[in-house]
Amino acid sequence: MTRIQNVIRDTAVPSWLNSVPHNFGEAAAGTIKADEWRNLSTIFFPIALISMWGDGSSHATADEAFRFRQILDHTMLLVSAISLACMRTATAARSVAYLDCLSKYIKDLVILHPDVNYRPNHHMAMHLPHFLHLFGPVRSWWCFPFERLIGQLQRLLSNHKFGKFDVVLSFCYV
Amino acid sequence: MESTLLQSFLRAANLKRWLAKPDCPAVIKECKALFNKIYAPKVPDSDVGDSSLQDDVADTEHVTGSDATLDALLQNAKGKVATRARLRHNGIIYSTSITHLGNSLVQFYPNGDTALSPVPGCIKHIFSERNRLYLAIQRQLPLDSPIPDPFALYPQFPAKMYSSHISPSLERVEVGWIYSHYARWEMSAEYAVVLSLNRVRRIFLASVSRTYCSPQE
Repeated sequence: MTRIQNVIRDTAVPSWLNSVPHNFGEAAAGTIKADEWRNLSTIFFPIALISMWGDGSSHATADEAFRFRQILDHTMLLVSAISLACMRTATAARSVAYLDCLSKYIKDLVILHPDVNYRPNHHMAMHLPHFLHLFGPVRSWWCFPFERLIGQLQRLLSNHKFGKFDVVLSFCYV
Repeated sequence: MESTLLQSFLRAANLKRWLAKPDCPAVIKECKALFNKIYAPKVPDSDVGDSSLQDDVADTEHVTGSDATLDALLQNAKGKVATRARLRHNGIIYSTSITHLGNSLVQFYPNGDTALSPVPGCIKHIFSERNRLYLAIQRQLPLDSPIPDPFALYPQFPAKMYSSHISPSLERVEVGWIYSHYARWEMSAEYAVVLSLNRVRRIFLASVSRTYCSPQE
């Protein structure tokens, strides 16, 4: 965890990349939002984990090294799948590579982590190549613009009396 | 509540209309510029195209003798040369390493040749020569001694080990040669991890060290 925090603190990134909490993992960091999860899982986690558990790292015992390496390789399958799915251009080859990474990840999940159960999200993620094929890159059809709008609406001050509120709102937006 | 919301919306609309009118007093127009700076959306509009000319960055005339390496790079320069702290190209801001280190780390095609793999470097200076903008870039040096690169095993994760040092010599790079920004984490005093942040295309960095050639003066 300290290594991840160090990587977040010391990595030089451009200003267009949204920042992530430097105290990730502590309660004070608050809830991590989707974009922060994406940046953490495609940039900071892999750098930290590969530098700790990857080729050339030293561990107390050979068993421990093997176990960490297995977990790292498994996590990297998910990292690869996320970055492939989030690319701004979609190709058939990328879609196939995504499916390949994700299916290996899901297959090994219960073997490497016996205490973990499959979730509906695992199932839904397998449908993504189909949508990539139908609609193109995720950026053009993901729900984050709507989530942002919902966030704005939630932050509006109100007196909790619902009357013509929605009518006025829709009038304003039109 | 609804009427309050509606009223404030109408007032805001009236204010915007007033600010946009040509007969608005000059003092209020100054306020508009300030408002735009404060409340303008952070995400740049990617459809704007090359807006480097709309930049509000002031150029400073280059004084010979302030930086010997830049002087060497500019010895054949014709006309007036001016330096600046940052520039905006296709909605993305690039700056010098003193201004913002993260915004100064870019991968670029050597000599603009897109057949080669992009190489990472750090923008030391941004200068304009005869109304064209150029970058003076110091390349990230490759590793001195070959060590196993743990990042090479994951082809979908475009990270690679480099030396944490940058080349002392500067290279003149055109703005159009830039491939993308990159993230850099200094693993130790000798090694740094370079991660390409391009989300459109993916060129594997594995071949970078092969195509590395000595920087041109």
